[in-house]
Amino acid sequence: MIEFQHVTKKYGKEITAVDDVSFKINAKEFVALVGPSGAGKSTLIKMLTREEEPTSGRILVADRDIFQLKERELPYYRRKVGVVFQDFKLLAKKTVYENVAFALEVAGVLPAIIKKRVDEMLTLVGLEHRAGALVEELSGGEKQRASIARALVHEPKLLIADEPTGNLDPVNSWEIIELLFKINKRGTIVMLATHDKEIVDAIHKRVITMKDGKIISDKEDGKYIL
Amino acid sequence: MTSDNAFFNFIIMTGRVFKMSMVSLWRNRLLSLATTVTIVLALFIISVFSLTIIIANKSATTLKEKVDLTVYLKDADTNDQVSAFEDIIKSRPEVKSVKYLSKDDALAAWQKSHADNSDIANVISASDNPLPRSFEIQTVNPEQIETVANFLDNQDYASLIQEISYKKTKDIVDRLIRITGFIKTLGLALSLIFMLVSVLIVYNTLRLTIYNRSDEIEIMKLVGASNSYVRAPFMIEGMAYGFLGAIISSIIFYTVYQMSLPPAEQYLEISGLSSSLFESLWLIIVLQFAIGLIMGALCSMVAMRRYLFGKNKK
Repeated sequence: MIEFQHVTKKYGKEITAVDDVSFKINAKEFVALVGPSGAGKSTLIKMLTREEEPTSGRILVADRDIFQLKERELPYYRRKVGVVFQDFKLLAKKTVYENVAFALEVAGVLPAIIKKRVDEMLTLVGLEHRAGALVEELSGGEKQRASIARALVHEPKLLIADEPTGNLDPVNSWEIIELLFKINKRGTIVMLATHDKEIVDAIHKRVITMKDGKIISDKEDGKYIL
Repeated sequence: MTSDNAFFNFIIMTGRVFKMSMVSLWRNRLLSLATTVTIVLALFIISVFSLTIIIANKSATTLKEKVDLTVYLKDADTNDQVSAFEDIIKSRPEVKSVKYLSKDDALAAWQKSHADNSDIANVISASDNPLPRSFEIQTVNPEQIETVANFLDNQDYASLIQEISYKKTKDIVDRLIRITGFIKTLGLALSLIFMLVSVLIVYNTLRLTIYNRSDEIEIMKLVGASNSYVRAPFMIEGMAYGFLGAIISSIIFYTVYQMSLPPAEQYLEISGLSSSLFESLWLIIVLQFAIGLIMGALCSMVAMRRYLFGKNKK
């Protein structure tokens, strides 16, 4: 489903953020991407969402090189890749419902379908009772749920969670991880980037460990080894 | 999930984009107001100068047509001499028409032009009429007047002539053409300056709007909004400034036009000025809208190019 082939990303001549990385992720997998800050996790994710272009190498998604996509195809690709961030990236002055609906509105979805889809997603993440609340009134955990609901609203094949628990307390963090499992069980690939040792050691999933831009370990039922 | 009906889909998207631009305009209403005012100023100045140039051109043309050659005859000339002279003038190829004015005609014209002042009008009466007989000569084109005048001055019949009058009007026309040229240069320069200023202000406003909404833009791209969907609200906002500016400027311009036309007509002694300007008036108003919209669209394109779709912002 997803394949990195000798991907290298350099910023200028000095800095190599990602250094000759190759790996494969199959459909329905749950993968933890682990590494200290500056290991290259974020750069790797940005290349997968096509915010950054690799200096060399290829990234295939569903057997297509995503850097061969035309500019006008890009929005459709992005709809098939949901992303969740540490800082949520929600519109603070809008309600939970509006934030989730926004993703569908920009895609030209009809109002009746938007209503149905948003309600479904809010129920999935357990926020149906908070639909009318403004984002700025939410707790951290609720914000992350809202952003997950938004990421899922286009029914993506891949959900990338970039440090989704970075701003959350342990209880809320576990709730988010549980939610990611639930989403993974529905058939979506989940790629969880984190440097939370406790979470990584407890989930018993495939762990890809990065350091200084290189993959230093890739194990099923992996542990936090740094 | 999207509508199958492309047209319906387009309507929905247009509605959403339009709403976004209007919300943005309203949120920054003070900035929007300032931006609109500069555009109004620029458009108004362009309009006023356009109209002034058109009026000046029209006056010059009207005056050019008025330029004729008047040959005043000595009272001692006999009627035979006068009619023979008239034939000679008519035989010139440059001469379009010759009108003979008798002493009575001259008196009637005098009384008519001083109708509002009976003291002056009555200074001359039919029994004591010093006004000379004259020929009013029109040439095929105004440049030939001098040729004809010189011809008349330098031949046998010169002795019949009391005075040849043509220079005064010619000087006025020349001056008017010079003034028109000056107004054109001044108008063009001022219009360009004001246009440049308003372009910069609109550009800056849009830059601020884009900056204010950079979070929203980032999220839009993240959730898969197409580039045109991201761009359209700024495009519409830019054009809305131009459109609003054009509306306000047109209203002011039309009001000023209506107020200043009657005195202008009187001063310039051109009757029917308003009817001949009617088309130009609408042309200027259409021009205002065109300039406003194009200016807004161009500004937003440049602003977006630099701040929305720069390097690494795919």
